[in-house]
Amino acid sequence: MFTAGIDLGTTVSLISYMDGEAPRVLEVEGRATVPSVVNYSGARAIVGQEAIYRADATNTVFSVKRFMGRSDKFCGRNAVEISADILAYLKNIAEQKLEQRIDGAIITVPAHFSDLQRVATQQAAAIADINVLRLINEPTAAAIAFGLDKKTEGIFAVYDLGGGTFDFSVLRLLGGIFQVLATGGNNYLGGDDIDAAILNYNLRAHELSPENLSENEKNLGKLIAKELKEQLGRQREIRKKYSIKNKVYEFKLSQEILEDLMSACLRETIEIADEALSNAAVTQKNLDGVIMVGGMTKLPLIKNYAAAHFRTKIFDDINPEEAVARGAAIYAHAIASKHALVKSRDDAPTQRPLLIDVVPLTLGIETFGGGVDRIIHRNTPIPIVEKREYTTYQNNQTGIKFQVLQGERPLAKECRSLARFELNNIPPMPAGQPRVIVEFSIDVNGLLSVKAREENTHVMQSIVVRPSSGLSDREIISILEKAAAHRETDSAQALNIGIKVESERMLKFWESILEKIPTNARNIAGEKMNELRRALSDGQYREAISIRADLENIFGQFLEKIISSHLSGHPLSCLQDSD
Amino acid sequence: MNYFEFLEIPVSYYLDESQLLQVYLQKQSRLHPDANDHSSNQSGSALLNAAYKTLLDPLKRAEHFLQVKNVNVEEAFPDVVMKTFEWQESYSALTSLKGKKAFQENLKNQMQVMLESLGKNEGNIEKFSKILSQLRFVSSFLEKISDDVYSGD
Repeated sequence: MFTAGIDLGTTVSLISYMDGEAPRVLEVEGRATVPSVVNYSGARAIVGQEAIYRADATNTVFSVKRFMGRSDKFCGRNAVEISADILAYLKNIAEQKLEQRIDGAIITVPAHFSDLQRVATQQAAAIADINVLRLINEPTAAAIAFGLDKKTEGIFAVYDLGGGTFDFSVLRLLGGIFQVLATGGNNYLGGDDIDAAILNYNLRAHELSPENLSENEKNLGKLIAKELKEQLGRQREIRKKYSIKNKVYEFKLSQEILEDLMSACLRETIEIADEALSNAAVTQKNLDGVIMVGGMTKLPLIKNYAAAHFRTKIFDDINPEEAVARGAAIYAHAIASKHALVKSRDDAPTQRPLLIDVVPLTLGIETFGGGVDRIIHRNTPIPIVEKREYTTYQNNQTGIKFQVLQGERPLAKECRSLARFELNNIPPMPAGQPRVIVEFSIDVNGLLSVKAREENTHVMQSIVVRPSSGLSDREIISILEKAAAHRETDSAQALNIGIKVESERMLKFWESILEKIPTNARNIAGEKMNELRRALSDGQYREAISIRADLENIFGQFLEKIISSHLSGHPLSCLQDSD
Repeated sequence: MNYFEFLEIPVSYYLDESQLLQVYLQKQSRLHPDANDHSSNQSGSALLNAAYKTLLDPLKRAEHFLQVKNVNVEEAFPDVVMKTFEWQESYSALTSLKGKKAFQENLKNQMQVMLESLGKNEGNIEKFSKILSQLRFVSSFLEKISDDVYSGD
């Protein structure tokens, strides 16, 4: 058994493990990175380098990470399923090479991934039969690799420019603790955009229009652009042949052109960085260094740009492509060995690394009139629980609708809507008398759950944020069953883990609404829930599925009743759907 | 819950930040679920984060200080109300983004000055409360201005 760190990237992915006390990235076909490309031309998904070789017009998916948490479909699959294929590939390769089963893994996500994108990542892992020890933020993982490598303390920033996302995090490294002070980023800023710009520049030079290219030609063109960018190094200019529709064109890239194409992107990264530093109350004077992470920072241009701006030490000597995966492996090992405390060989016992991360984006509730009541501000350390009190606003109002929002903008319609829920069955009272406590909790994975409770009557409602456009429990189960049927090894176990994960999630949800349903149903449901718990702990997964179906029926009927129940009076917030 | 006691620092508006940090990290390395060998419960760690965040923020610390001292801050001191009306009026008269940003900077500086005088008046609860009531307004007004300026960008 071993634990792994997985960097599930936009353009490339990596899996790493602990080789003794050192984190090591697994090499696949002689390379540390696996292209995050999946081809579906055959019965089975083909992932990585081979998918690129096979790349055919309609069956290949590139940069799927950009669509996490959304419902877009490619080759009949959504981003969660495609990401699951990449994860399963990494896991299988690692298990074969190390001849051991994977026990658990940390998967890294951009610090600015929204709640929905994080949940989607967890779902992908469940489908790939990976026990997720923790989701951690990519720049934080890189800082762990850096801190343990350099054995240094102080205030450092991580400048993480990858294939698809940019993150900038400011951390304090002290006594083995990695305390994130602030973070900033953009989920749609990265090497992918630069590659597209290089491609478009060359197409224009040959009087070609990007619109005339098929999706696949564009993707291959971007790969050529990426090669140009990576091979340029410190050379003045390089050229490469590229064939489109049976004609050969010469593409070129020079330092000047690259600088020109990247200037807007670089300016934006610096703006984000400066804001994060200011939010962390860190000035350039007390910043001990900037750690360069992500494939893009291999470009000399970016290093020079960062050095000129930050005027502090720039650390570019840790492998920028591997740092995230290595940090994830270190932390996965630390969590997994909680009981086997790592002692240093010297005198004092060294602590395991401990990570205290922050909320990347402000979370709140839509207020009457379309504003945002900010409940948990960005850069708050996690885990965290915050409460707010609301009340009704018309006499005899029996329900309140809530919309949960994420983002920094002042208007609800400009923020991302994470979930909507209603608190119903508030007994008729004069306006202002009910006391509705809304509680936001963010766990160590950065995932949000929300509870609302009327204090006089204890009417309660709770939700777990789910990608509304993502997958339902039933869909996940059906995918797991399908996946299990295809998998030659351990198909049963894959399915079982999926059933267990989802059942536990549902149990948590049902527990929270149990007291709301009528006594008869409550007794039956309570009994069934105990049966389900027993079935899960005894490993009776077939039985668990059938008990769960029963429970879904019991609660399902009741939930429909709640939703359709008539609301007298107007809800406090979110009168209209804002999108 | 008395956060000062929880974080083992003196019940005072004056804060030794490095002392707070030291106790916070030391406690977190016991309470955080990743560090705790015996529990994956997150509530202790969450409470500690809330306490740390409250004490680190000067305004929240001042509020908590009075709460611990059982002092209720009167909502409306008449001259505070007058002053806030003046500010609101002069802000709403501004039209250019540049002017608004200058106003914002100015108000931020005033807030800094008020926070400093808060520190000097810890012994005088009445004066302390009065400054705090004004700070409450300035802080929420600054949030509104920052939203407004943000939208105008």
